[in-house]
Amino acid sequence: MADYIGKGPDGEKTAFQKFFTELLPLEQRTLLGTVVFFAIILSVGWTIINEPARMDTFTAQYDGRSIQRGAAQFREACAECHGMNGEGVLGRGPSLARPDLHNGQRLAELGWAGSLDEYFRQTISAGRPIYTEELYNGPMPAWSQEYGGPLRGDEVEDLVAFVANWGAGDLPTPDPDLIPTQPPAADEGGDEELIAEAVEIANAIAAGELVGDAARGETLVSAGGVGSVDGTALGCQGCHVIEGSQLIGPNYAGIAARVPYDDFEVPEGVDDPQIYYLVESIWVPGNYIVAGFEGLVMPNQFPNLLTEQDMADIVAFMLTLQ
Amino acid sequence: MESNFDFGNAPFFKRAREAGLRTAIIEGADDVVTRVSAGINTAEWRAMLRGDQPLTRPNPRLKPHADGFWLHMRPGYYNKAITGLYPTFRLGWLSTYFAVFELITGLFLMVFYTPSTLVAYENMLTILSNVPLGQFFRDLHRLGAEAMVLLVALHMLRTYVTASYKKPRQFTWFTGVILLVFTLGLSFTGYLLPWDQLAYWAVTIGASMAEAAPPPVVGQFVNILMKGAPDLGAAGLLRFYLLHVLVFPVLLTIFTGVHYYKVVLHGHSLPPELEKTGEDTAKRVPVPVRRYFLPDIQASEVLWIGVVTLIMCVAVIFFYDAPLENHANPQSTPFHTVAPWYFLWAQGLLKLGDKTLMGVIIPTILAGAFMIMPYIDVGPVRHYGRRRFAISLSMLFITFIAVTSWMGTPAFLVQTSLDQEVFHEMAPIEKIGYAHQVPYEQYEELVTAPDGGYLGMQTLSVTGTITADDGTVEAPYWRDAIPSDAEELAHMLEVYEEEVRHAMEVDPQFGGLPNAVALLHIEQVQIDLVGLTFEISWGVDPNNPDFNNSRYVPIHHDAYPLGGRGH
Repeated sequence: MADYIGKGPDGEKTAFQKFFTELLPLEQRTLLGTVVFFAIILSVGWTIINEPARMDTFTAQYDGRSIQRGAAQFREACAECHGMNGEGVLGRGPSLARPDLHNGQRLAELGWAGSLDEYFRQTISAGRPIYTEELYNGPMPAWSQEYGGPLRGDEVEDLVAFVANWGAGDLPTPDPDLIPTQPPAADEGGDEELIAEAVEIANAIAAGELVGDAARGETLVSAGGVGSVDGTALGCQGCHVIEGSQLIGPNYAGIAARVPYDDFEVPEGVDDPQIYYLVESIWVPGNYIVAGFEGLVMPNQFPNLLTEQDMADIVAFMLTLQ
Repeated sequence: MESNFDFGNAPFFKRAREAGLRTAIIEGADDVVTRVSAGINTAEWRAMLRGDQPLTRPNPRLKPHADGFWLHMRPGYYNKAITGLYPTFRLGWLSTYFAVFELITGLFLMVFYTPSTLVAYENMLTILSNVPLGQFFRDLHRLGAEAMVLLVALHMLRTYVTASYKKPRQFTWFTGVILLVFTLGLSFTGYLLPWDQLAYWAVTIGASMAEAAPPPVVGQFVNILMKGAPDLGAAGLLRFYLLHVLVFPVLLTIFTGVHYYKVVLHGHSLPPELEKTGEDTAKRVPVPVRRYFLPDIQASEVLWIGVVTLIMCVAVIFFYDAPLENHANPQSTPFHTVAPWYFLWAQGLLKLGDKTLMGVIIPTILAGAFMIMPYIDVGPVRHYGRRRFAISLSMLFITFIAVTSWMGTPAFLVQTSLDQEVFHEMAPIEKIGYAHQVPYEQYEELVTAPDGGYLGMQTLSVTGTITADDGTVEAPYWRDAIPSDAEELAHMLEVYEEEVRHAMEVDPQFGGLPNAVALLHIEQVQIDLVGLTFEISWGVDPNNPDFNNSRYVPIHHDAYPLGGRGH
C-alpha cells in the first residue's frame, strides 16, 4: 500500500506521521475510552454537587442586577415626582425612602393585607386612579403594559426590587422636610384662608413691600424654568403660552390690561384689583375661572411650590404683558 | 392431550431436559444477544472486545450491516488508508455526533421552555436559577451549536481540499451543502429563543435579509411568512421555535440519511493515488487493507465522541457561559448590534450596498455555486498540488469570508459619536464593561467617611483637576483622589482617561470630542447600591462647551461577576 503522507529519511514514518495516520491498538483505545467515560461522569458529577451553590449565586447576582436596572429606570420614569433619591417632591409625589413605608406602619394605616412587595407591584403596575388632591397635583399613572402603561412585567419587577431595597438600609437619609405625609398647612383652611393669603400678598406687592423681578418671573413660568422650592419645573408652559395658538389655558398676552373682568369679585381690603387678580389666579386657581375654560382645572398646589417672592416676581413679569 | 399451546415442548424446556437448565439458560441468553445485535453472538462480542480475529467464516461482524437497521447505513469495512486522523479528521462523524448532542441537550432545555414572548425570558432565568444542571445543559447546547457550524464548515473544506466531491460523489457533496444550510438554519433559529436583547437584535439583522428578496412583493411575503408580522414578536418567536425543534431537525435527519447512504454506495473517498477519479471503491477494498467497522472503526468513533464530549464538559465548566442579556426590547436597539459570528460576513456585505444584491442575491449565488460546483469542476485531477486554481479559489473564498466578517463588526463603517463609544466601553448597557469589573467596595470606599458616614456625591475628573473661580477644587484629578490599593478602580479610570484623550484628538466631524472634560460622579443610592454617572462635556471653544452627555450606571454589591461559577 502506498504511503501517501511520505516517509522520513530512513523510510520509516516519523512519530508525527504515525500519530496522524495510524490507529492506536484496539485495547489502548478501549482503555482510553473508558478513562474518558469516567472523566465525563466525574465532571458532570462535580457540576451536580456544585449546582445548589451555583444557583444561589446566580439568583443573588440576578437580584442585584434587577435592583440596578430598577435604579436606572427609576431615574428615567419616577424621579421627577418621587425625587432623584426617593425623597419625594412636594406637591408631586410622596417619598419612597421613608421608614414608615418600609417598616409596615404605612401598610397598617391603609389596611393593606398583602406583602410590601405586592403593594409596590400593585401601585406601580396599576397606578393610583384616585389621588389625594390636597397633596399632589395628579394621580400616579399605571406603568405596567397590563394596565396600559409602558413597562413590561420584568421592568415592573426591577422597580419593585429597587424601591424595596430602600427598606434594606437607611442610606441615604432623605430630607424630612420633603416628606409630605401630612397636608401642608396652607391647604387646611380651604379657599377662604387661601384668599386671605392672596390678598395679603397682593397688598404687599402693591405697597412695594415685596419687589418683584420681572426677568426671574419670566424664567419661572417659561419652558425650562425651575421652581424655587424643590428645583422642579412649575410646568406653566404646559398649558399657557404668551401668544400664538392657545393651549389648554388662556394665553398670557394682554393679561396686565385684561383685569379685572366684569364678573370678577374683588374681596374687601384689596388695594390693587389687577395685582390681586394675578395673585389669586395662581394662589387659588379654582376661585375664579375665565369664561370658556370651565371644567379645565388649573393645578392647586402652587402655594406649596412658590414662595411669596416667587409670586411677586411672576406678577412683575405678568404686568409687563400689556 | 392435544393443545396449540404446548408449553412443555417449547425449545427452551426441551433443551433444559436434554442438556440441563444451566446450559439452556446460557444458550438462550446467547440467542437473545445474537438477535438484538443482528447476528453477533456472545463469543464474537468477547472476541471483538479483546481485539481477536473473527471466530467464524464468513465474518459474522458484517452481519449487522446487512441485517440491522442502524449499521446498514455504515460501510462494513474501511480502507486502512483513511482510518487515521488524517485525512478525514473525523469531521463528518463529529458533525453527525453534534447533531445528536444538540438533540439531547435541546430536549432537556425544551422541558423548561415555552415559546411565548411573555414567558420565554423568564424560562431562561428559571433554567439558570432553579434547574439543576440547567446552565450546564444550556452552555453545552449553545457551545455545541457553534462547534457544529464550525465542524460542518471544516468538513466541507476538507472535502474540497482532497477533491472528494468529484465523480462519483457529486451528489454526496450536494446533500452536504444542503446540510450546511440546515445547520446554519438551526443555529440561527435557536439564536432567537432566549428572547433577550442579543437574540432579538442579532436575528433582526439576519432576518432583514429575507425582506429584501426580489421582487418586493416576494420579500414582503417571505418576511411575513417567517415572522408572522412585519417585526419580530410573539408569532415570530413561535415560528422560529417550530423551525428550530421540528422542521430543521426533521430535514437534517432526512438529508443526513441520504448523505450517509451515498457513502455506503460509493465507498469512502481515498487519497488520490489509491483511487481513480470516477470509480467508486465501495466493494473494492483489498482484503489486506481492510479495517472492519466492527469493532475497529466503531471503537474509534466511540472514543472520539467521548473525547469531544469531555472537551465540551470541561469547556463549559471552566471557560464558557452562554450569554444572556436583558429582556428583548423592540424599542431599544443596543449599541453595536451584530449578527451571530457565522453571519457576520452577510452583515459586512450589507454595509457595502443594496440590501437585495448584497443580502439576498450574492448569498444565493454563493450557495448555488457550492451546490453545482462538483458538476462543473469535472477534471480528473484530485491531488491538491495539481489543483492550483481550485485551491487558490478556496483560499480566496476563505479570505473573502474573513474580510467580510471583519466588515460586519462595528470596527468597519460604523460612524458614531465618540462620547457614545466611551460610555459603551466603560459601561455598555447589555454587556460587561470596565465599570462593572471594579469590585463594589472600591466605589463605596470613595463615598464613605473614615467614621463610616456617607460623604455625599464624589466627583472625579479624568482630564485634570477642575477648580472653581475661587480656587476650591470642584473635581480632583482621579490619580490624586483614589486610594492606592484600589487597583481595579485605577485601571478603569485609566482606560476612561485614555479613551477620552484619544477622542479629544479626533476631528469633531468624525465624532471627536475637542476640549473634553470628563467626569465620574459616584453617589450612594441605597445600601449596597452606588450610582456612577459618566459625564463628558466638550466643544470647539474650550471655555464654553456646547455639548454634554452622560450615562447613569447603578452598580449593586451582588451583581458581578456575571455567571454562576465565578467567570
